[in-house]
Amino acid sequence: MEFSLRGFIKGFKAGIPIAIGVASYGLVFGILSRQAGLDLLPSLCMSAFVFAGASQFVALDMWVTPLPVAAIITTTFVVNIRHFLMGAVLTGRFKGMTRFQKYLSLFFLVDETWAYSLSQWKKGNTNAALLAGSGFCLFLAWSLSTVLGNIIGSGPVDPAKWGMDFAFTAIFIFLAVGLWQGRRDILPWLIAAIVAVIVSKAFPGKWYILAGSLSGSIAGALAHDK
Amino acid sequence: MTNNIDVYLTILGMAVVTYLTRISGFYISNRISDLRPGLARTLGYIPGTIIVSIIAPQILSGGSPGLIAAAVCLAASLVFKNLIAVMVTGVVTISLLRHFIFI
Repeated sequence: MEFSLRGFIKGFKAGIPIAIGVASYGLVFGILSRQAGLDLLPSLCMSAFVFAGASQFVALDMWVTPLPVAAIITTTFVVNIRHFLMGAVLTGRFKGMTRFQKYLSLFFLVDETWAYSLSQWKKGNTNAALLAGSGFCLFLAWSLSTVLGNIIGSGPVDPAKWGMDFAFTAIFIFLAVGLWQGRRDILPWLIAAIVAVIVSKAFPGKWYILAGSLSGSIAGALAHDK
Repeated sequence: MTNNIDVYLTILGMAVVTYLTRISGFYISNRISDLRPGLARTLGYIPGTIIVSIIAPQILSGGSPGLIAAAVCLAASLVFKNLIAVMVTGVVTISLLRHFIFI
């Protein structure tokens, strides 16, 4: 595999149509981050340094005073743990790159850039910079739209009055539909829902998210083994 | 107002653990030939079950309007395939339900 500017630019251009969709999410994230009490700078920092949409929405949903620092960080880790599998797939593709090129590229690893780059490499493209190029394009879209949304969101609105408190639920329902893989998800999702509801009633804080997800996922894997 | 140090500490922590998830799979599979299939399957279910665990208590705590609006969002997600359209549908639905039906 080579790592060249040409590959980076090709990746960047391929990322533009995806970036339009990403920017719409970023705009929503920016608005809701302001509603959650995040000022412009921390909101931008989160998008620029974390750069993982679903986990950022989850963090906003947990953003209360006093801030549950440990719970948010732990939950972020679990939400993003899928990157582990995606990164493992890249090992064979990154041979011959410098350490800097590898670890820079991995920062730009998100669902869409990973899927795009893999499809290109499977077709015979040998440029490893596609991932970093498409990722950088989405990174710009995500960060800039967060800034714009945060500014728009600073207008005086009462979230509960306008049903904005339901915006998160709507976003998560939309994300869940996109993650549905078919009938094999029924059992893990059902168990996750039941455990989450029980734990949310029995324990304070947001740990029910981890409890529900881990029990549902393990149940799903065990059911498969039978 | 939330303590500023906590805000940046949380964001820094999120950034570090997220980057770790991005590099760890790559780093580890350089050393181990194959991931244990049970673990791989468990990880595969994590994204969906996380989202379900977030929304299940939220929807139930919203009572009847919450359940109805959630069902409408589900239908809207299947029809529109667009985040903003679904969000607007959900917010409008819950507002209408709260103002006119479940007062």
